[in-house]
Amino acid sequence: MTPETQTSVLGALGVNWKLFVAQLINFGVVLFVMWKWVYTPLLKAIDARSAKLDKGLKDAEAAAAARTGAEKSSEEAILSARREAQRILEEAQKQADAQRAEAKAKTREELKVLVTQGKEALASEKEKMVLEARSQIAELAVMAAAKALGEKMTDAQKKALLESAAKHAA
Amino acid sequence: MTIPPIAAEPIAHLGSFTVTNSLLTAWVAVGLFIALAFLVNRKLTSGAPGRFQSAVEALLEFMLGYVDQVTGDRAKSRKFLPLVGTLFLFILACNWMGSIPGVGSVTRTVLLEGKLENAPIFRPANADLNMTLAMALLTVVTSHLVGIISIGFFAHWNKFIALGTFFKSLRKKPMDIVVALVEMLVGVIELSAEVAKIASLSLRLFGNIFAGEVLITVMYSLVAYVVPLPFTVLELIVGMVQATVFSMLALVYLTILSEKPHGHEEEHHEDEMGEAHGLAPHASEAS
Repeated sequence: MTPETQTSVLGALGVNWKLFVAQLINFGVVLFVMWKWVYTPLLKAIDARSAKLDKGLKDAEAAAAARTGAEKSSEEAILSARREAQRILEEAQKQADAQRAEAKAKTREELKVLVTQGKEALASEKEKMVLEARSQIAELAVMAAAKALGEKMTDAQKKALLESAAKHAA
Repeated sequence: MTIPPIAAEPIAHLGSFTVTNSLLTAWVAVGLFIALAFLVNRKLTSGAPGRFQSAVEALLEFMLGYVDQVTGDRAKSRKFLPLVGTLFLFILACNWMGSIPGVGSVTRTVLLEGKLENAPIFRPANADLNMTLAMALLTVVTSHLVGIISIGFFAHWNKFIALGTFFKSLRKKPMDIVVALVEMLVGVIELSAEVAKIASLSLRLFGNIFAGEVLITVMYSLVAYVVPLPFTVLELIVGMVQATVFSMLALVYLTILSEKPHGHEEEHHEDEMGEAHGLAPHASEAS
């Protein structure tokens, strides 16, 4: 303590400009250090974190919404696929039925044709046989007549006789 | 029994500069805060914070909440927090350091006023008026700077030397001129109140801590065991309260001077006993 500071009231309380400046510097240093390396970076960190948190919450909400949408759309897809399958199945059934019916009809037609053809063939065969038989009978009749009449007929007479016999037989 | 003297005792000399025991304690406190800043920055992250960072962040947000109650504006609070928060933490640390065993009791023989005497190596930093005066002056000067920056040079000084209001009143009724003159007179009183702010801030803290130091010394010299303990606890509480009072008053000064004057109404503030005042959140509304 210097004598000149002791004379005043402040000096009596121990105030000394050198010490005052030293203490001012002390507090100034603390203030600067705290401001520069504690308050500013920490408040910045807190802000950054809360911003990050907000963004995270928003992202989570968006993700949840997207998931719900995806679930709905996938359900819809499954439902529509099922409907489509049902439709295809029904169509196939219908087609199969139609095909079967068509095949049946076709077979029936073919059978009919075959039967008709068979009948026709039989009829023509029968006619042919009748014709043959007729001509043989006529020949036999002529031969028998010739035998009976003797062989006294001319060729022209034989021919006329054959023709008339054939006409009768017809 | 030696009652501590009002002035801090010189315990060492650095050239022509005298190092006192209070200054030495203040240096230790400064070192603590530098260490704190270093620790905070070592693992600073905006991701998931560690335990230490969480604790400091919680303290910061707690203080910010308190500051909000006075300023009512988060942006302003963030501007004031570094000064107000540092005042609180530094004063609190200095006050509580006075209760560490050894502070005030471990002595060294020094030449004091021509006699050899035992002086403590460490004394509470705030038991030295130089320290509290430095903080008080810094606070009041800063509050005026904040006022000038936030409402303008002339608007700020018109709160104290109401010349602007006076010239405006010349164009109005005579009654307004009288009111303006009265306001000018009030302004002069306000100006002296600014000086009183420095004196009250510094002397209140110094007085409380110095008195506490004397009280503890007396108690220990009367009964060395058990009896001084309640007083030590009391000193811890006083240290906390005084740190709160100083920083809250600083905050109120900052807030008041950063506010625009509404019309002719001048806000002013009584600054008698800080204890009740500093804890009232809306002291700025007093008129």
